Amino acid sequence: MDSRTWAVILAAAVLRLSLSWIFPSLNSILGQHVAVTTSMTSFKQLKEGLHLYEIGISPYHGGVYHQAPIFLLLFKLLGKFGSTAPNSLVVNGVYIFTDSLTSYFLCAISKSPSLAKTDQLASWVIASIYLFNPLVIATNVARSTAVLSNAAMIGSIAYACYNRNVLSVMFLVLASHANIYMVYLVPPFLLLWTSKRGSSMASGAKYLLLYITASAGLASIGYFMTGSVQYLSATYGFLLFFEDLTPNMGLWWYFFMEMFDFFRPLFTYIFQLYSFIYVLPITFRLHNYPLIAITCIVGITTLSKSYPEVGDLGVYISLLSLFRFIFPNVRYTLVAVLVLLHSLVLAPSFYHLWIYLGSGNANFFYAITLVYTIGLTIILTETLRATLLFEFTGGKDPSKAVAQI
Amino acid sequence: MILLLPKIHILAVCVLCHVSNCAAASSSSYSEHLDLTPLPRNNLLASFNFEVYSDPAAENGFRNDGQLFWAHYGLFPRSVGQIVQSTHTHELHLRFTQGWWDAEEWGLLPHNGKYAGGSGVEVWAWIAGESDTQAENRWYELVNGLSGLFCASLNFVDSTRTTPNPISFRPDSNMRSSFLSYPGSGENNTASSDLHLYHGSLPRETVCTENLTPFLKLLPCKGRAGISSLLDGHRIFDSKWQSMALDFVPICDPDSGCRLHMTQKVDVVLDVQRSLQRQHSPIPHPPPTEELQCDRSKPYHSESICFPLPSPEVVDWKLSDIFGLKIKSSCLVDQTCENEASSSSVCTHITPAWRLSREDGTVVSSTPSNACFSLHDSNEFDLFFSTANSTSVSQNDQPPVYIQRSMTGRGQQNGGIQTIIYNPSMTDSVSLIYLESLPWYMKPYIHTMVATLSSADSAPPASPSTSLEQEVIKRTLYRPFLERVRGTYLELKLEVPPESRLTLSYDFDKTLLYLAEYPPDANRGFDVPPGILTVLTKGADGNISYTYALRTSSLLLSLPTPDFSMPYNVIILTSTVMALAFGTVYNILVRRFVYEDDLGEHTPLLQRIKQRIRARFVKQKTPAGSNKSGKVKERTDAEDRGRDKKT
Repeated sequence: MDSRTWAVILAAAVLRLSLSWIFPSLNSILGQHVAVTTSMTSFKQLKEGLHLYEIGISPYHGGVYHQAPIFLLLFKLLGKFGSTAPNSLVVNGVYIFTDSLTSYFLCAISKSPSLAKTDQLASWVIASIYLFNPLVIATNVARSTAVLSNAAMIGSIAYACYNRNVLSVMFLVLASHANIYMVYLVPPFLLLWTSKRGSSMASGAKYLLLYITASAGLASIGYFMTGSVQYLSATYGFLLFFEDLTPNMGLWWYFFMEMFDFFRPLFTYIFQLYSFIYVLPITFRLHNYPLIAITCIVGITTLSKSYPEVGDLGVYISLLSLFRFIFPNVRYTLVAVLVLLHSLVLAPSFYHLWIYLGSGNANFFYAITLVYTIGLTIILTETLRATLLFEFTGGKDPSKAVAQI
Repeated sequence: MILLLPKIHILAVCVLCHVSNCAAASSSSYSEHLDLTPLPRNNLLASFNFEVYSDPAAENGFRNDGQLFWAHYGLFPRSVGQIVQSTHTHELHLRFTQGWWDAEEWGLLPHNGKYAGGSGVEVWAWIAGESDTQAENRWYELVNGLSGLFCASLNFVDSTRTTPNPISFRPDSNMRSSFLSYPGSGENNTASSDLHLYHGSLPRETVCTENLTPFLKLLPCKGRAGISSLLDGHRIFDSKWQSMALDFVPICDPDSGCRLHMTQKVDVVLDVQRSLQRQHSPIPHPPPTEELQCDRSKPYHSESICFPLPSPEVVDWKLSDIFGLKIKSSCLVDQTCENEASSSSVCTHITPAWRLSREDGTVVSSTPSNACFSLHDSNEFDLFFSTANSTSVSQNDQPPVYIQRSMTGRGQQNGGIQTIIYNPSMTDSVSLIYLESLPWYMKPYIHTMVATLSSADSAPPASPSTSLEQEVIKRTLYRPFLERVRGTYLELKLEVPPESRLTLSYDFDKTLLYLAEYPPDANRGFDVPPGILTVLTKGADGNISYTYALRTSSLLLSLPTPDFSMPYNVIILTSTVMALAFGTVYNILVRRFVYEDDLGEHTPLLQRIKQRIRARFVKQKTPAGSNKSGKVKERTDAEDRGRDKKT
């Protein structure tokens, strides 16, 4: 961590703070935009849940609040230090600190023993790719709780890279408690936890057991808070069975809206299976590169999860920035970037056309989500191909031509 | 008509049979009243009131569960009685309302709003049940039965449209006190807690003739005689505001036992001018000059220039002009034993400016404000109203509170609701209960609720300068919505200080529905049931009574809609994109890289398979292909595996 990195972090913090102070309505505008927040991460719904919790109604009793109970505890605690309005000092502080921490973790990962021997971008570049990514800034200003769960996930990677496995397990438990799709990261994390020389299957089983126990412990917090296990169906059930049709950048909402009632359960299972089906193959195939396996699974869930948001793409891009050594092998960069830019620019405008102006219909926004998914697919497949090619050539620029069979 | 006559005759005979033993039974009784009140701007409020009492329940008329059981209904309509009894309903209230009551012009609602519903259909009932589920099932049974009886879509009152146990309603009957201590019901004090109140409303329901006809059929004379013969659908539903109410209440007193009491009310505000025009000139044409009534206050008024009055001051009409019919005889079932409980009358509430006369030209009254006519002495009844000043109407009191509710925001993603409650009194503060039940696809954020108080004259302040939640909102009852299961229930106990305006506002989100959940005209929007405001008054003895009730108008909520023609396209396109991602990722994952130098010459598929089989079984060297560098080729993994084995 050189002075330049600190300067980047400081500049990013100032930028975030000034954004929410100069444009106070930006918090609520972005906080209600469907591309930036979903009902799994919305700060407004968190506030509603907190309010219900404080007046003594179980927030999971109704269909208002679907986020993890731990956020209620966290923000109830924060409420003791001051207002929890989206642009209050406390909330600003927490979100800016979390983002800075995430960028710090990312720099730490790039300096970790396993990556340091490869070609790496400078720390300040990695930090600014995360901190100055408009998607990340938007997610932060929208006060999406995904900022917190993503920080926990990246923290978990960072600790695993430095062999602080127990801490890493704890961070992953936190992350997957807030966002159940992070459970998909457990297989590649097992590779990471057991990558140290001399560790065996038994140690992997040990960490897995630790993970399960800690998750159960954290899950029981919700039980003690609300006095029932109702919160499980309100959070995880809500996510698994896809009950909220609010538009988002994913593939689910329009599909299930138009789907015939009779087939809806079947396709819910298929879609959930679809998001899981990549996890084990990628883990097995990239067992030499668990970090890249984690990154790819993050990318896959960005594409296939039930309530995706653009902040996930920001995290995915930041994780990709750690693997400088595969960049030379990546093709179609221009195409992928243009497709994603195209969709990210048009998505808000088409949504506006549909919802506010009424001059477009739902198909406009739907078409853009398809384009977005295709852009993600290009990046994902090229990352995978580049990694496998790197594995094959051993990092040397192949003088001989290579074929994929 | 010829065919009908014998039937009517038989009916009359039967009625007479019943009449003969009236004094002996002294049981079921029926009375009907019509109150006519002219309102400002040539409107007429006609309040029809029909009351029926059943025979008392038999001495041994208790079932095992302590419920009253009626074997004989008398004049009481059996169709309602049976539905109510089979669903263990203790008290039932049903309202069909349409139009808008102009409280600023017309003042208090008739009967203090007790019998006026929100626009559409509203129903609430107290139902006995050992558990919530049992009572709820009985409630659905009840609304389904009523749906068939009244040709209304009451069967659509499901869990999403039902509000359980709101505190805005109190039972009319005295069953809580006397009914339960009535001998035979046992000392079962828990029975009172077994009563469940359910409230449902259908704001979108259009009230029309098909609801009026079954409503009239419940009356002993079926709308053929008595004041109910005035109730013609063409006139009733051509009104500015109309409300039909059916109340079913058991009345118990220790002397005569328990009886069923059913009240049917029809309150209509009719536009007299419109009704007259329909009667006299069905095709609209300008009135002749001599009939024009000019606004003389206009500065340009002269012999040749006339600004017509919006509603003429000199009016002259008769009852049959307004309703299109005369009252046909009376519906007094028993003319010999007429008493207070069994009567038939028409009353008017007019000012001395009005002149009333009967058909034969006899002036009935020009001074008393309340003139009542008993109907049993005439076969056909009509009344003539005339006045030189139609703006002179009997004073109707100012309502204790005004309410107005509207939607704020734009777009179809989210919005807000703003409710303004105005207390016009100069001296007294008003305590209220405000009930709002929202459909589940409206997702309110209760933490955004802001209450602001402003003085009567000024508009509500732009920013909530005085956040008075603690002072104004005494109590909040809230149950959040659950998707597709139940709607939001919000009940607030408020205290509005004198001469001030309370503004309540909160945000909500709109949501998308499944394709099949949209009604055929999805872009029309969805109706949000009216809010119900109940005024509480503390009596001298400290008891709080519900003195006045009023409803807000219903709201139209427009939700975002999908493209209804797209199901197959969406399924196909989404699946294609998913298959594309799956295919490319797996294509990369299952293949491996090789140097081109190691690649064999391209061999045809058949030959390759042959080679593989041979490689498996025969230890034979296959000729390695010659190298061609500089070109990328792809092979299958399996072939490569075969190659490994060979080498």
